[in-house]
This record gives sequence, structure tokens and C-alpha cells, in this order.
Amino acid sequence: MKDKKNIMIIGSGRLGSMLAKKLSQGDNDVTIVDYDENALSDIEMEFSGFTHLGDATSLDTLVAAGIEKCDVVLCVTNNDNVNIFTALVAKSVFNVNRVVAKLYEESRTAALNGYDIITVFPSILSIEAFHSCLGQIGVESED
Amino acid sequence: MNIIIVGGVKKARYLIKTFAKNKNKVVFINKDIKYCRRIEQEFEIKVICGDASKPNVFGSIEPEFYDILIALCPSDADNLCICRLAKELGVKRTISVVNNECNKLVFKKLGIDTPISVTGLISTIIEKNAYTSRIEELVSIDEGKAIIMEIELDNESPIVNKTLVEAKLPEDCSVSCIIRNGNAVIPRGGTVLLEKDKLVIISLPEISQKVVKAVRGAE
Repeated sequence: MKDKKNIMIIGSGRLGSMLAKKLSQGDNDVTIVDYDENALSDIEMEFSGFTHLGDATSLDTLVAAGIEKCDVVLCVTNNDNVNIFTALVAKSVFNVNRVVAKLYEESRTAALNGYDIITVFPSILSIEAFHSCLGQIGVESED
Repeated sequence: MNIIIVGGVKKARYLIKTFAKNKNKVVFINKDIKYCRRIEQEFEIKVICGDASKPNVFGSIEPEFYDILIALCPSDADNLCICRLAKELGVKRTISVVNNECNKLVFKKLGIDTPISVTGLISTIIEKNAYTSRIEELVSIDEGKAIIMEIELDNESPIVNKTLVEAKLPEDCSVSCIIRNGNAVIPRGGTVLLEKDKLVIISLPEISQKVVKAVRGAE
């Protein structure tokens, strides 16, 4: 059974804005946070949630954006360290149920040790996708 | 001691200079190649050009033999990641600049041993100096559990020319030392307090204003 969730998305870049649109269509309460007002104004017309302008690496911004009542926080800026920072804050300070962080560099995962934070690695997903389509067109590569 | 200093530009240089002098082993890590070269030319220390939030940068040293890592980057997110990684790799203690005072408690909670908030320190100093400039807060002990103040007596002070016992200063404070004519005097109950004495007082922070009033009178 799918419940309506309260979701915060940190980072309104390509991934963040697409996630925001999709998730708000799914009848969830979505808030997207970014410190760049242009990034936020791009998305404003196209989704039914809230935008919040501010620096997500400052605790008071996250509180003002409503993190305390969030079920899910998605840390998807283009900066790994910001994603790690906000994910750790969401878990350790605000006890958010589900926290997901996007990381370009897999080796940075060590900083998340000890906390139940899910990681998504776009580079690995891309490699897997390429590997699979190369395989389909008969190109061999190391497994 | 074995010390790793990460990031920072001017702050790093001062620290490197200080530690390298005292026969400590210092390693400097910074992302900027120009700055790394400058430090290498000026000091005979190991310099690594790279991003200290990535484990491979520590590949040429053995982090578990280092006592302290100091993170001086302008970004709190970078400092946090660098310090947490350092701890995972075995560095014993981490010290970090915290640029945003709001984040200081988070740093502590996430295992950074000594977060230092510069803006917090400045705002505390300004607040304390708001009542008068002849009171200096020298030291905060154990994150504000006690404070040490230095207060100068003038001839309008209610306790001038009295003995320490007669001065009847509030409980929860103690005059540990008097600076008189450039000399330190450790007072006893019978020591007479004179004009221009600088009293070094340890006190609980909640009564510090009461102590100041008792020493200098109402202003």
C-alpha cells in the first residue's frame, strides 16, 4: 500500500527537478531546496510542491524548509560533500526515516559509515547501462 | 606529534609554520596546485595536491600514524567529510573550522573532536564587550562551563582598598591572580585590592555579570 509521503529534495539540478516533478505527481508533499533562485524558478511552474531558497548546509535552512516533518530526504546536489553533509544531518539530527544520497565518487561512502543512508552512484548505473547495451551489440568488455 | 593540515590558505600557512618549528611531522593537503607549490617551496614538509575527501589522496601516507587532522576549508560540508573520512582511516583526532555557527553541534554529534566556530567566538566576544572595554574574557573552559575574566579596578570600584575577604565577591567565583604593576600576585584573603589592579577571576558563566557589577560597581 502506498502512502502519501512528505519528501524533501535537496538540490534542484537535472535530477532533483525531475524527481520533484515525478514525486509530486504521485500525490506526495514535496519540498525542493536550492540556494540558486534560477534553479528554483525553472521548476516552479511545473510542479505542485514547495520550493525553498536557502543554503542546505545550514541547519536553520533545513528547519525552515520543514525537514522535521519529512519521511524522506533525497540529497541530490552536484556536490558529493554537500550530499553527504545533508544526508548525515537528516539522519543524525532529524531522524528522517529514509535518506538517500547521490554520490559521483563511490570512495566517499566511507564518510557515511554508521548511518543507514542509501547511496545512488550515477557513474556506476551508467557503466552498467553501457555494459548492457554494448553486450547487446556484440562488443565484449571485462566483467 | 604527527599532524595533517587540510585546506585553508593563509590560516594553513601560519599553522604549518608553528608546528613545523617544533619538530612535529606535518603533512599539508590542498586542492590548489599553485598553493601547494608555494608551501612546498617555503617549508620542508610533505605536500599532497588533492581532494582530502577522497581516500586515495591519503594513499602515500599512513593515516593511522597521525595524531591530528586539521580541516580549514571554507565549506563546512567539505570539512565534515574530510574529518569523518580521516577518522575512518585511523587518524586519532580531528579539529575543524566551522564557518556556520549553526553547524557546530552537528559537527560534535557526527564525531568531529574539536569543532571551532570562528563566527561564534566573535559574537561572544562582542557581546561580552558590550558592557565595557575594561573587561576581557580570556578563556572559556570546556565549552563555556566556566570562564576566566580579567577586570581592572579603578578608583570608583566598590572593592578598591578592601581586602579580598572584605570585598565579599559572589560565591561561584574566585580571584585566582592579580596583575599589579606588571607582576602576578596570587592573593590571599588578607590581600588588599588596589586601584589599577587587574583581577583574573574564574567564574561560572551565569553569574559573570554579577561579578562584574560587584567588582566595578553599577555603571
